[in-house]
Amino acid sequence: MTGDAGRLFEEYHDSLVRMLWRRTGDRDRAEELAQETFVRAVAAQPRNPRSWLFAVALNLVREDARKALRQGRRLQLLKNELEPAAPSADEIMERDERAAKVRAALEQLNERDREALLLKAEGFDYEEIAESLGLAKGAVGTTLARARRRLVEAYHDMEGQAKHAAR
Amino acid sequence: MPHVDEGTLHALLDGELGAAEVLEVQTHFATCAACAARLDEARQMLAETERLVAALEPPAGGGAAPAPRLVVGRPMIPVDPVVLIPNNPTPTEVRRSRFKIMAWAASFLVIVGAGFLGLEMRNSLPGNHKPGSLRIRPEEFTFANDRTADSGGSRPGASKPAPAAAADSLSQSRASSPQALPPSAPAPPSATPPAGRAQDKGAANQAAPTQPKTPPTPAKPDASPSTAKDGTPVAELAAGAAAAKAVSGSPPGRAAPANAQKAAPAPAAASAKETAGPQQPRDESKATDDEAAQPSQGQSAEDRAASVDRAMSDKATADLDREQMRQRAAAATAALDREREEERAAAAEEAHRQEAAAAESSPATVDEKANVSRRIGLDEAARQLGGPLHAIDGMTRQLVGLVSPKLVPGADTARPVVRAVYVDRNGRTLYLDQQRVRPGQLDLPFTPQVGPNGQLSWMAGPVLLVLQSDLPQDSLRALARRVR
Repeated sequence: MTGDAGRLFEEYHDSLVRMLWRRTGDRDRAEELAQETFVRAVAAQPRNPRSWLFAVALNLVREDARKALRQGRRLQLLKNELEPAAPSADEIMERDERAAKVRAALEQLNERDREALLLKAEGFDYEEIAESLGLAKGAVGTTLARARRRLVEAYHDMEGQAKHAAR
Repeated sequence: MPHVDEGTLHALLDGELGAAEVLEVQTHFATCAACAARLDEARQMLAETERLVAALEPPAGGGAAPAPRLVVGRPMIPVDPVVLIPNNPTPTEVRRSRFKIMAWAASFLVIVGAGFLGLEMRNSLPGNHKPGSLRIRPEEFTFANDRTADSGGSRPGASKPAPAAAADSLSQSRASSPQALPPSAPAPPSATPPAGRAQDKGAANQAAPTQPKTPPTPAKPDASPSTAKDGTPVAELAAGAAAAKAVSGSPPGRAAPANAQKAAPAPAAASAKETAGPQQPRDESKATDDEAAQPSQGQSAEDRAASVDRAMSDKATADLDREQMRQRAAAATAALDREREEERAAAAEEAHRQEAAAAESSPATVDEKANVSRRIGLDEAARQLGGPLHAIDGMTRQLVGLVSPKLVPGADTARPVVRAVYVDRNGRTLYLDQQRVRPGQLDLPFTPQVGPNGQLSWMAGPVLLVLQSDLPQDSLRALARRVR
């Protein structure tokens, strides 16, 4: 059993943490949620571990987000991310700004759309996405199509706003 | 066919459509410019999404970073609260944890051994003892011999019934204390320093037997009864005669220098105690002389002398304790250090051996082994493929280059193939070969297929993907699912 748990961990940990990080923007929280998920996996021993792990992880994020929303933390996080940093030619600053914009754009999506996008980014196929999110397989393509379009549009909006603000 | 909906477009680009559907859709594109244009738009949307999401790389390097190790058996320090799932320890970890256990066992044995050594040395008093015996025979107490002629008989200058009776009871207690001691002998010898210490205190407490003689280590209750026995008679005698005090004082007093001499192997410490030791009996003898001469007089001078004695013996005792502890700690540390050094040396040797083996077995470069004629960058790859390079999620790519299409079953032989080279944990290579298909190309694997060499081929939009490796089939399939 411990061997299985170890294998599960080795195979999926990085991917899960990355997805959670992209989803939450908080490295520590992502690690915590990942560990919580693996603990539950050891207890539940699911037949399709990958879909199960990510589904549970996303559930945990949703629960967490709801709680945070009640406490106003999420808004604060968003606010922190959107606050313009001091203008600088530093490459790192640019990367962080970009990441902040992307995350802000991601926040504009529906929960379903956002999750589908993040799972696809982790290499899930349509069947796995359907399983993890409880969608019909035929609906995954439409979900992704909508998600991608909205993300790109939201990002461009954000860039447009920034340029406007800079002007 | 009606126009292609957005979901289908994306499914096509994601390689999720079946062969029949793909054919149908491609046929439609051939005749419907609007849908072909929407396909292009969808492709751009997909590519940009991938870029944006990729910009959300976690700071530590995301998928390229190796998975954190969950180590079972890391002793002592609970570092990560998040380490919840045990991992099968690797052979190295097992070896290391065994070393650690051995190191602790060794240091424990050293402590025990040092203690026994001290014990033996203490017991090998000049002449009369068998090594290892705990019995301290009455005639060894030179004070008893010097001061009181014989331990059980009459005392010079103290021909009182009470002292005599007390002396009897004392000799009884002395007789019984050796008996009390042997039971504690099998136990770790840290009992004897406390017993010795307690006896020292007994020597110091001639005039005022206030403290019960509890030994410092609570784990050795055997010592306390004997010293308590010593203590009680002393307490009884204190009200009475000095000679009895002398008797009670001297055996522990004699034992004190013995302790001091034998339990401290360091010459400096030994000499210090030897000076302290003989002083004690001398002082005590002086005190006892005084007390013997004036048993019933006011106690002030005696008290002062006694308290000075007490202070001195306490200090000597404390010094002795500290020294002993220091030595034990040093011995244990030395043993541990030795173990650690051996372990390190062994590990270093192992590492050297492995390096040498590895160096011997791989003379060819990765490029040569992969038959890559020319390395290319991501932008050129994207140009070749008409879209971003496909990658295996969670694996580290060694290089990207062009290879001859002859090496890739199913590829168009007129154009090169882009090869992404991966190496897995065990050093096995994988190639993710990619080529954009040209219109009208035949025999495309619209559903994933296994080729003659065990390779997996499938389509991802307009790109032919071929995954080649000598990994088993299900591993290949699992990896194929992780191709983005």
